[in-house]
Amino acid sequence: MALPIKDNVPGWLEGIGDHADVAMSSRIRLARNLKGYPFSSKIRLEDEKQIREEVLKVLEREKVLPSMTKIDLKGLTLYECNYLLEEHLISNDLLSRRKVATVVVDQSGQISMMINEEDHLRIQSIFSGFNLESCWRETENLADIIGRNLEYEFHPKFGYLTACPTNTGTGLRASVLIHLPGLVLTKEIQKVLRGISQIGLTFRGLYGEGSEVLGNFFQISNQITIGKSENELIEHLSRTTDQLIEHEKNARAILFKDAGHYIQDKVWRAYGILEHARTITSEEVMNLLSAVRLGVSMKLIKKLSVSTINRVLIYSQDAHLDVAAGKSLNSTDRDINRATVIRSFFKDN
Amino acid sequence: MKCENCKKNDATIHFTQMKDDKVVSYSLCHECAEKFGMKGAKHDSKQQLAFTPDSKSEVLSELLQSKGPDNNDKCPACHSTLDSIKDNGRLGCGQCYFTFENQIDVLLRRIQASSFHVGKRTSKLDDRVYKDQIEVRKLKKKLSDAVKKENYEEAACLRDEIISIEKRLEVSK
Repeated sequence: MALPIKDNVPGWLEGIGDHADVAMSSRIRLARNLKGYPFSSKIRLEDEKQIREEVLKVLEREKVLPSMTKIDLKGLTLYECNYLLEEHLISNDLLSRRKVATVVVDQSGQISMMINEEDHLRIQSIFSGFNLESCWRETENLADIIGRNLEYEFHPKFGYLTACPTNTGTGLRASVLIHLPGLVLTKEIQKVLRGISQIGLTFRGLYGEGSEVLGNFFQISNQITIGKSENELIEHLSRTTDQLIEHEKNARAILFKDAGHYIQDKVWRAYGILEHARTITSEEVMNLLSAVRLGVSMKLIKKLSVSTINRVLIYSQDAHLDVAAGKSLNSTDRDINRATVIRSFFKDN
Repeated sequence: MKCENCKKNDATIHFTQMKDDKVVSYSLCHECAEKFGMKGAKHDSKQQLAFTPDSKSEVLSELLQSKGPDNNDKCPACHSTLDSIKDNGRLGCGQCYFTFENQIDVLLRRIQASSFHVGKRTSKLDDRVYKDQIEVRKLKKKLSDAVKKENYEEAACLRDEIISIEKRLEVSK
């Protein structure tokens, strides 16, 4: 079955917005459960179907649905599901619940909602660069539209109730995806990450919960969801991100001053391999792209834009290659196709 | 490479974690990863990892530490017990937050620094309705206890009280 959004390029890849070279994207996710149904660990199939029906009806009534695409995971192949994962539209949890799992996405890919994940509703907004305000505005808006029509599980003391107490209260997870090769190369990253964990924030790798840190990309998010208002939580993350970007830019300046030749060599070797390789693994791409991204950000490489680098990052991923080929590839073919796709991006520039 | 834990199987799950002031890497096989509470580990992809510092099993096993008077309680709505909550790594339903209110309060204050929500509230509810709803849930719990203890007179009184509050809630809608 064809993926309805296959030809749409997600808006958050655009590479526009504040500091889009260092902060690749910002994301806010809100968890909500509907009153009158058990949570995901105890819920029955009929309940999940009903939840989906009710929510979609609301979106239609409120005239939100026409501008959004509805994707039922049930009809998709595994690689099509992984495609959605790579586009940051679904999570692994939703994938494991494919039978009644649905995701609704708007045209720009900037607002989406998962139905029947760990919580009944997971509303999310992703914007390019450092832009938590837009993310919150869109997420809150969609949550309010649904909240006007359906009743959320809410406790006067504990706030919005979620399946896991780590989300209770605001149900809010705000995060920024940030590129920190400077801090890694100057070996300050340990100190920085330790500092982050001490102020109610956590860090993870590129693809969310439980992923490895690849390509010097870190996802920084709030750990606390109760005891502070949504705005306070977002403000806190915002200020910390500002400081992080500052630290990173300083680290890069120092690197360039003290080891300019080394950096330039690293950057251009990476560029060379990506431009010419005939077969390449995704790990290697992540590492090389990190150097190239640094090069673009420091204006060493003028031929590529941040938006192109972002596209290379996503379109070289496994499932994106499978979808382009129309089938699940073996790893040899995938590595070849990956190199081909990357060469074409570099040539077009 | 072999799993760092059992040293028998091939390691297919790799993750990194902050330990003291270092970034530490671990490599485990699928079975050992499951044993450490990493449900749903995507073991066929080199890039996906399963472990996070705030792993849900760890977090919820905290719940079992507090030995309150309701340790053997069952949630009247979804029949969850503290044991089943720990096994699932999740609460069963909204009513669980009322049934196990004390333990959850302690847990939240431990893992989240506060158990009191100060952010957005649902727009339909005002103070009176909040209080009524809490009251109804409390009474329903008392009712199920009374029925269990075969205290039918008390149960009947409670049921009447519940009906009258629910009528009031209906009117206020």
